[in-house]
Amino acid sequence: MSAAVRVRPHQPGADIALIECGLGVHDAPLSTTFVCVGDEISTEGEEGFLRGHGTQVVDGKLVATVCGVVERVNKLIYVKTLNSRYNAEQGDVVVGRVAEISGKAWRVDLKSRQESKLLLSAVHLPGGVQRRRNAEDELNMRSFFREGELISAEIQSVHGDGSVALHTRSAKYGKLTYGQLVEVPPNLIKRQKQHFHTLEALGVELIIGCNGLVWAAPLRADRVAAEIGMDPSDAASEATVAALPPNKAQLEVVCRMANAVRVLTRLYMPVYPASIMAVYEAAMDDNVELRDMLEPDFLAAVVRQEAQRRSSAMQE
Amino acid sequence: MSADAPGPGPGSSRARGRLPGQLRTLVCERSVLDRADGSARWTQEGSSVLAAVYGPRQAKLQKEDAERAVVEVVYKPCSGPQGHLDRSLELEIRGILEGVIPLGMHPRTSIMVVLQVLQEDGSVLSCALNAACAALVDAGVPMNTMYASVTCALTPDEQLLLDPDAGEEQAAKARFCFTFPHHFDLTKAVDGEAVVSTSALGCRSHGSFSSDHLLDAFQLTRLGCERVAIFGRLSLTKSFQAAGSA
Repeated sequence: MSAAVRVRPHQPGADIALIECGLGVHDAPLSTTFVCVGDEISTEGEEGFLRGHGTQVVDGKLVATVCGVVERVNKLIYVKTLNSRYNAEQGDVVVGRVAEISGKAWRVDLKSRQESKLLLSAVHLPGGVQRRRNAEDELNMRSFFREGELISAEIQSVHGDGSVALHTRSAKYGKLTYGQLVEVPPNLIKRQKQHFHTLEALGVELIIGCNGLVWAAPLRADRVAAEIGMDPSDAASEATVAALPPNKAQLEVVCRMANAVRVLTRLYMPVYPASIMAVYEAAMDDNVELRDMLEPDFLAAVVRQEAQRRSSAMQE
Repeated sequence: MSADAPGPGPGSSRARGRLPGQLRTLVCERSVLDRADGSARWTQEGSSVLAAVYGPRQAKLQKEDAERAVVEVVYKPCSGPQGHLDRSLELEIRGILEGVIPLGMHPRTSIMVVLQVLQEDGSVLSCALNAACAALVDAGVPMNTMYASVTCALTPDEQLLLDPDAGEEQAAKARFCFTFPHHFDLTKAVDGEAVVSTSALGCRSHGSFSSDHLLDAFQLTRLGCERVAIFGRLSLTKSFQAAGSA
């Protein structure tokens, strides 16, 4: 019987070496828009530009405050670093953990610079009823979300001092149970139209939070109902049917999806549904066992696949 | 200035011909720790310091400041528990970092810098400051300017030695640790020319010396900082090339 736990020596830089070899970027010319702290960013030919993260104006010149690559999107100029904590923006879908409950609000940890607040008045009450929250609601806050639970929410607003307010004013947001959470650097996640992905063929629900927390869980009937916007009372009846814990096959699929996300994180590749599915399918095609997905062999195969994809994309 | 200086042991680089104004071999490894927001290990031949940066993250209620970020520094010596000297070094390092990080950008957060001395062979404070700078860059913490730190020792026969090792520090009658901010002028050369500021961020001295010695050490360490700045930028572009092109 094979060992349940495998121990491998830690080789720092092994993943980077993989990427270098696979994608052939040994002698790649360094992007000319790399800047260091204190370097001046040229703004020639740009009237009325918007100053983004990682920059500040000193003596009328635009200067970088972090080391990274300069990105220009329309009129916005900002510096993108390799590592950074999540910067909250209004409208982002995020996954967070409840840290504590304090007077009419939950404090939720988004792995960002500050904890965010989810006010009692911003929570979706069961039954979809809109009413004024009273003292009894305040005492029953723990029945909604307890400390330590994972929730999905949307960012309502970001105040001037950086504090963030969340809301869960829709049936699709709320408590997350029976699934796996993977932490990914927020830089690898792009803002897209949809952050909730239901893969019905596999029976998996995927939530890609903009703050770098990715949630994979078995698909439940009440979640599907919430997605398609069914009447909340019907959704509640579906929930009682689907309250059973998931079986082993479902959990295995969820673990595979989570491992696919981990593979993308190790190789520093962007995380979005198409790339996750590509890794998942590569694992299924090669009959890679669940626990072998993080081995160097499979990582090298994924890098090769990405290299092929890039060269074919360039040829087009 | 002759290369023969009292103090260094037979195996040291000075005995092997290192000039008084020459620095030791520099090595910088970035992103060595998984759980820290940023980390770096800075080695100056015999001295090595590991720096980890956690933040900006939510500060504890008692420590938070409503208008600015709070910088906390923890300096752990190579062996033994923290003593009063280590606490004093923490204050010095914190003062320098507060001068470099725009604290008003992140109110109510805390930026914690943990420095662990792995090997001690002279110029440890400079090594720690350089490691902290590299770790802050790795963490993506915004800074007004980069800085470099170099130590200088004054021997009993009035000679100034740059980047002294442990033996030279002990034999010296005074030593100075200067920290200078620097930036790169990209218009002068393709990779930019290092411009070290004429004003220092920090100066920590030990021993007795005259004002002339202090000013000479100021000038000498400023030249040394230029070399550290060039090395730092080179090491940063290399690590960016590897990770950023993936």
